Amino acid sequence: MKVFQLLLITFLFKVGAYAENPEKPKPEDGKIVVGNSFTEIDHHVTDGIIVDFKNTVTKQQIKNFETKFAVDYQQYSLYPEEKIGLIRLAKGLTNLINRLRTSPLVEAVEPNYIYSLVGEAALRKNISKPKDPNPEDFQDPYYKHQWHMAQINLPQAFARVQGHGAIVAVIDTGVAYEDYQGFKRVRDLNETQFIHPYDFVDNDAHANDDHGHGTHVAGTIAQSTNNGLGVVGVAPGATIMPLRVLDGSGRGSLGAIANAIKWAADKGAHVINMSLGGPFPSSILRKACKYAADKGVLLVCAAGNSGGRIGYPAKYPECMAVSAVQYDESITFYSSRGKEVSIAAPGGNVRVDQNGDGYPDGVLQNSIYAKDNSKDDYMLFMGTSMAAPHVAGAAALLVSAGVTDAKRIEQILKSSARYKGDEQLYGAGLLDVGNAVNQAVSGTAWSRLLAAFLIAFAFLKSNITRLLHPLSLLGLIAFGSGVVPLGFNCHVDQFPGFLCYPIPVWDQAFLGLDVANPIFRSAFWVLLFVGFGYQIKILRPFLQGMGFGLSGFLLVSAFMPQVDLDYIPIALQAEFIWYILNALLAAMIAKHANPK
Amino acid sequence: MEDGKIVVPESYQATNSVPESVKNRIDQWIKANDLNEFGDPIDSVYIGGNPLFDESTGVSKDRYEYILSNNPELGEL
Repeated sequence: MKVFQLLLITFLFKVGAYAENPEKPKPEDGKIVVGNSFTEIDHHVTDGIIVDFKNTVTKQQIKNFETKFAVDYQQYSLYPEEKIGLIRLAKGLTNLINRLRTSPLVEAVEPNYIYSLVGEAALRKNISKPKDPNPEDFQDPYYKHQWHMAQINLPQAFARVQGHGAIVAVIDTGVAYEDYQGFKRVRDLNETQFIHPYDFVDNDAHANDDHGHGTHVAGTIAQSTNNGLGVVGVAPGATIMPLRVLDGSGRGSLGAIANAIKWAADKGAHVINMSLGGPFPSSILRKACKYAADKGVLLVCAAGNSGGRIGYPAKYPECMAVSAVQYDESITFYSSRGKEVSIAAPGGNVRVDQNGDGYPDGVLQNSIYAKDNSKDDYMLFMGTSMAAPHVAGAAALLVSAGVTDAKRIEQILKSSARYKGDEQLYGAGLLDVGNAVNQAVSGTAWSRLLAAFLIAFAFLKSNITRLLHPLSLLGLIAFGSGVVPLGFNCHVDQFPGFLCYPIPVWDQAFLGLDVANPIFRSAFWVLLFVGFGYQIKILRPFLQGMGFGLSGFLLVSAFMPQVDLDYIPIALQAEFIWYILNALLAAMIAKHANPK
Repeated sequence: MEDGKIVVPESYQATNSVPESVKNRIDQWIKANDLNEFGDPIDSVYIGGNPLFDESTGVSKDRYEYILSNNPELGEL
């Protein structure tokens, strides 16, 4: 036992330096006009092929291409330099697509689906039925029209986390977040928290919205939810940082955006949402994105609404570029496309009513009227601007669940997405926030539990049955997985949600999500408990269980880090080495903690 | 507090009525002034990355009409 005590003293000495219903409005209101037919895409009909040439391709090369394949190419994209165009033909589509794809000049070739006026009945005939909102999931009466929240499986995530502790910067037209000089906070942000606002257009501390776009975006992220009013947000517990960079006309400059990105990173934002962009790259903007990413901030950007190539900043590798799908989960006609697309999320399409709820299928959130900033209602918008904040809100939920490492958040969002095929359109797939939170909380927990048993088996061999002692299992779960794998569906971001977590991450529960103390995530616990508890024989099974549980926790953390550890340098894989060494130490102590 | 109502976009019809001669003039003006294809300063950034697409109505504007709306003098010559 002296060995344990000596180890404990040595360990403490070494790590001491780290110590630290409303009803639907009546037709006579004149506000709701819903026609009997809408423009809709028919995936079985095309009028040709879209060809996306490489940037370096010259006009002469395109002419040669036309001759070689006996086709007539017509420029299609809004941006001349993009070299995206249409080849019209009626027959032999598939064969020609396959031939064109062999050309080294092209980046992408796909059918050009026709948008045509069709009756609603015909429209719905070919649509697979996505999941519709269940009005009983939330106390917000218009939730039943928020098909987009059901599409991302929000209710499943909401049962566990609501975004508390996460900070999301909304770099946009501002947000209607305060009553100030004629501006009003919109009704359905009444319970939402705000922090560090700044107006980079007028250079003052009041980032009020005089357009409506930013308020709509902020609502998707953190609309006050279960408040008996209007609609829901993805992460209503999250705190919004309103940063105004676009004026009332929806335009702004790269310089203002770069400054806002740096502001957000310096003021503690975990996630930045940018539902904006421009056609040209900018070294200033790139530098700002890199600055924020290096500080561990996740940047979520709208892919763009040109239907062509992705703009900037979405195109930068530091950003998650989000494309937009509509109700039937197909890509929207306006969504920009390319290999930079990270993930797809609902952006809506107000030209259709595929779910037949009587309203166009836009994204529904509370916002102001552009012509009267003091008035607000529930607006149906569509665009990749609307898709991005669904992802930003999902990221906030993961932060709230204890995953603060931006790369890990992106990895979870992508791996939990519902794969939709063509990655130039959908990236990793359609956002599924229910799966994402499940993966962040339960998935990791099960991995830890499995790792703990495997380590125990490796160290105990034939004595593995000792772990079946109730106290051993208790220790193993408390320090390895938390109670989540046992089926407890607790709100992990609300008191006493910390009980759901394994003990090594309780520092976040009590000191804040930005804390990631390496001592908590080390063999410290097992040294402490074994050092002082070994003499009490009845505790030994618990000590052994906790040792292996902790070892499993640390081993999984080495390969799937949820946080960036404080004080441990990122270079030279120092965090990985820290976790592995401590996992080994914890397992070695656990092996001897409960002798026969 | 009132519950608020859902506001539905009224129209998404785009038009394209700019004569070819004006289009040519606009293209030359863009080149001469080193502007982006929307006739705005090169460092301009837009809602959703595209000023031609109105996310609140679903309307896709014609590029030349957008430029003329911001620079009406280009259509008067």
